[in-house]
Amino acid sequence: MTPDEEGPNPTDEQVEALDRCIGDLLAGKRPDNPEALLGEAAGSLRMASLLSSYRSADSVPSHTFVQALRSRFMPKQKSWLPDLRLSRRTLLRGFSGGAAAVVVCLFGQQALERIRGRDSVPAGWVPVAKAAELPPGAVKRFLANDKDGHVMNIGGHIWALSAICTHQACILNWNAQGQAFDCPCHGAEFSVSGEHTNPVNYGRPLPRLERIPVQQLNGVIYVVPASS
Amino acid sequence: MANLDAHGLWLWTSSACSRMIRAEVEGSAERPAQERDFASVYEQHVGRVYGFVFSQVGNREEAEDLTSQIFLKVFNSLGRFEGRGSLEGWLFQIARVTVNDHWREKYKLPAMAMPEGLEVVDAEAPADFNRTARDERVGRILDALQPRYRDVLQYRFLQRYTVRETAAAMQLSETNVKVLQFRALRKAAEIGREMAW
Repeated sequence: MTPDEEGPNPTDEQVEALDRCIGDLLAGKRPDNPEALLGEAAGSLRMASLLSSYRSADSVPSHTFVQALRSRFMPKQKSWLPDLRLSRRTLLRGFSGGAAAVVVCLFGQQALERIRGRDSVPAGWVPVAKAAELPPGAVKRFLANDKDGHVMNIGGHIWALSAICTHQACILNWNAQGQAFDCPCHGAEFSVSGEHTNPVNYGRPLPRLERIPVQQLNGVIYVVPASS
Repeated sequence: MANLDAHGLWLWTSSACSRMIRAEVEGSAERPAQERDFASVYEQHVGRVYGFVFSQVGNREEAEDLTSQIFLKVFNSLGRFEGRGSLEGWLFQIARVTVNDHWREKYKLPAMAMPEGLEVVDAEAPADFNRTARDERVGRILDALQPRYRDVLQYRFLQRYTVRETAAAMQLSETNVKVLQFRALRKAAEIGREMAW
């Protein structure tokens, strides 16, 4: 019936099987792999997969999936630098013997007492970067406890923002060229001060990115990951 | 914060002490370095890797399975990536091979349909992936088809018409639409194999 025939005639089984698979794909379901499409005919199904991905809402991973896969590989997200609250044993282990050592150790111990003492360092400051890693213009991703963030040095001022998009909580990427944080999911963009900048209407105004308290101490940059 | 400053000033003026603590901090940073590298690779690329896989299988369930497999491979072999070439290139090479293996195993595709040689595979998919590139590729493939093939695929996939709606729009029987979409996809697959990303 169709005048534009190329190649061998597909069998009825192949035609029906491919149509069922297309139906599944367009409905967002995983197609079964029918016998009729084994071999060369599967190339058509692969092309159907590409075409049905076109502008599909499923083109971006779900937040649940991204989280679940992350926790499979990184059961607990630990900062790569130890917490400020060093134990006395840790401190001692990092030290080689000698008389001078004892003196410094006592010093260290005294220092620790101060650090850990009541009303001294607020609990929860977590080191995320060395200041040397963050020259002006640099931006660095960090994971501190459960907080995803970016710490940045803008013209000598150091601050940190949440890396979670305020649209649907995808993780933002730093776009050095555009000097903005881009969302891989729906293309939202945020400025270095955390404001939503691209002109797309997401159905509601997107709140600015959460500011994370940051502190620089002795060449190390700390944040307070707790949101309260 | 003010407290931290005050104590900080008092505390960290002792240079011996701070040297010692810094040594401790740097020393213990060594062990989880790989974990940290993986974390950053994962966070930066999971969206695009998933997007690429999704463009190759067209459904969320398989895309999630394969994305998990890919990051498992990355997790196990990140230590062996020695910085030859870009990390993205390496990552997407793993992704391409994983997707090709999936198709080959699941549908018993002949080796000829998807050659294993890396050069050929490289020509088939981008070093990196984004949705714009994918949609442009779809557009180029459709443009290369004869009009009736292009029409049936546009109705079915881009406008998401049912077979019945497509039949009405193209003034064909439903059976003819099914045959036509089969032929159109076969031809598009042929074109797609030859067309670089």
